[in-house]
Amino acid sequence: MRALDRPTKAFLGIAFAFTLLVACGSLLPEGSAFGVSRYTLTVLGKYLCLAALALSIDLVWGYMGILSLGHGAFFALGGYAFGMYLMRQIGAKGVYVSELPDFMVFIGWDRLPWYWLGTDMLWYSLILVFLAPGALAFLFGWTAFRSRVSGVYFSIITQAMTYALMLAFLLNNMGFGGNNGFTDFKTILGFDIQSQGMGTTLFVLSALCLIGCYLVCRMICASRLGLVLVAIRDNESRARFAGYRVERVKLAIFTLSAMMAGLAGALYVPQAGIINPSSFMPLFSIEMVICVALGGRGRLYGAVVGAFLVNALRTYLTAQFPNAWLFVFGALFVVVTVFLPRGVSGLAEDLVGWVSRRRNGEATT
Amino acid sequence: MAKQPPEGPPGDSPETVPDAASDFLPDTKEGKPPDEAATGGEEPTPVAPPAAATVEAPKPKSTVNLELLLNWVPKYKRRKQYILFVEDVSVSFDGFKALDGLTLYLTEGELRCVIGPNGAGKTTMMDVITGQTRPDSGEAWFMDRINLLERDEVFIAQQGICRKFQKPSVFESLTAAQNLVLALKAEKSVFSTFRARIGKEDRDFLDEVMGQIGLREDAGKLAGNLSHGQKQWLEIGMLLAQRPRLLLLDEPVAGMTPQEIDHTKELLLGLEGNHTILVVEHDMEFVRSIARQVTVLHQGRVLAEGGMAEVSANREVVEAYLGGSDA
Repeated sequence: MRALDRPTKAFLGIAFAFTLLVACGSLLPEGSAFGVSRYTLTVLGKYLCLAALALSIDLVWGYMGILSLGHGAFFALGGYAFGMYLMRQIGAKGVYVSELPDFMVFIGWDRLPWYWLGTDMLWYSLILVFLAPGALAFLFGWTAFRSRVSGVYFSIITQAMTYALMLAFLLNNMGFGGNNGFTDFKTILGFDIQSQGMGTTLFVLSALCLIGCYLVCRMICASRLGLVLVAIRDNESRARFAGYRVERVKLAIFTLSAMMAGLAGALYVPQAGIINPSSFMPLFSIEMVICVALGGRGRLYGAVVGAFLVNALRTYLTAQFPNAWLFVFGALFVVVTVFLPRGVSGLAEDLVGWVSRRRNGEATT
Repeated sequence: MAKQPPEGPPGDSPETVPDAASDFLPDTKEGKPPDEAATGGEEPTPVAPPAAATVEAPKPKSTVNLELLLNWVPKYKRRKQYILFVEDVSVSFDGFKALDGLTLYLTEGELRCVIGPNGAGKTTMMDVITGQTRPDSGEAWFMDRINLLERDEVFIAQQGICRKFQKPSVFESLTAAQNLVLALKAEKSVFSTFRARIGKEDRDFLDEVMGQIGLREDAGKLAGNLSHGQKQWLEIGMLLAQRPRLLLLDEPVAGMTPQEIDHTKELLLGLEGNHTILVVEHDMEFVRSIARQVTVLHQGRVLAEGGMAEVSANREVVEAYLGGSDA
């Protein structure tokens, strides 16, 4: 299969090995040599979800050349969709001992609004996880691409979109918990969300989500559609004259990418234990874009590497030097833009190429 | 969109132009031989001496319905003999008339060159044919049943009107071979593109095209790393991969070395007969060497049409464009 090229095989190997190692480690008793603490497990699980989000950004930005500065909105929508299920799972175990989520009792509602109906069923909320971001991306993309909004204008309106959503979700009477969002989750399918087993399960699911997203992206990029994406990035009007309906391609890929982001968000929320409107903040989306840029866009594994690097650095710095993170982050952005336009993975590729050329050169001389 | 400088070149006095616009509208009743190209471009064509017929101002749309009906039938019949039928097309940008009653007919298998000074409306003409620009008035039909004025550029491209742009436009971060694969004629919806595979037949065809444009050795190179001339050929190759019915080439030899021009000449002459080709070109030497039929555009309308020698001898043309220096 063409889709399974060397980077893909390497990625799959590393991803499976990593997942297996961490998952087994998490099942070992606390304190053993290869044991993975619950905290580490959750952190790594969250990285996996953010990596899947970065991947979805790379598909539209790195390949198709559409810079979305609002992908966090799709991530958050997926998170909220699954969060609704988690809230319903709390049931009467909440503070107010009501079947309604606590925040609804707090603002005086006596029954669920219509859009909460059915969210107590896992399958339905899983559909919502794809449907909500997908529908938003479809409508948004349809209007934007049809009127041929592109380039920086598109980026700006995606920011406006995520900001508008943030303001909307901050409202208490939207029925999504306002400023506090959803938190204090108890169970999934009746199993305790705090248990070690659930932690491992969520971690493995996140890893499978990332691997699945990677394979989907890779299959697209290896197909002729992948060539069309690059063609659109290079010269959109020429792609039209080659007979491709550019708007439809963009819309399809954008919607697919939003769904992947939504799935990542849904897996992120139970591990983070909270979802609130800050996920809609433009800053979060921009951070993810910088992850992709740092890792190297236009290479799928680049997005994953970037997401892991940036978030690991963030975890470290916010713990050690809480005030330094934003400065380091800004500096990273500048350094990548100026010195590493192809990102860390581009640099690595150059190094590998340089080493092998040197070796060949030495072999011939 | 091409920039259309509002002024013509020095030397064309406006008063000579309007009535001089000669047009060589084939009159159907007399039955114009479909392809005078075959008789050799150098000789004056027997049927229509240059400047024989003068175009009247665009016919006012008839107020009488009966007349409209009576006109329609012969018009439809006339339309049927041409692969490309453009009549009375006018386009204006902010009051500037880029095309002013342009009329152009192409028969199948013809190689036609269109020349004209800057701002004559050559690129606008291509924009109209490919659906990029909607004219204010006129008609444009392809293969007598596709109304080009109602379709968008993607549909028109899928019907086989393939255009090479003035500036070489290839997909620079793809290899030459990938560029051709992309252009390959196929069902181009999102899903079928995702499912598309290159079969044996396609592979042979692409290899043949690669040979035709002389890029077999460079098939694996990134298009962005090709030389200027190679990019131009690659773009022509992309058009061929689309299995075109009509090729529109906007300045195919611009910026080429003499050897590259020779190669392009061979390429185009090799395509003649199997493909209908419309070439817009500034390089008079090149036009002279490939042209059978030449159409001279000036200020958005056809100034003269005929063999190269005949056109070069046309006084209006000389005044408007050749300026004596190049004739």
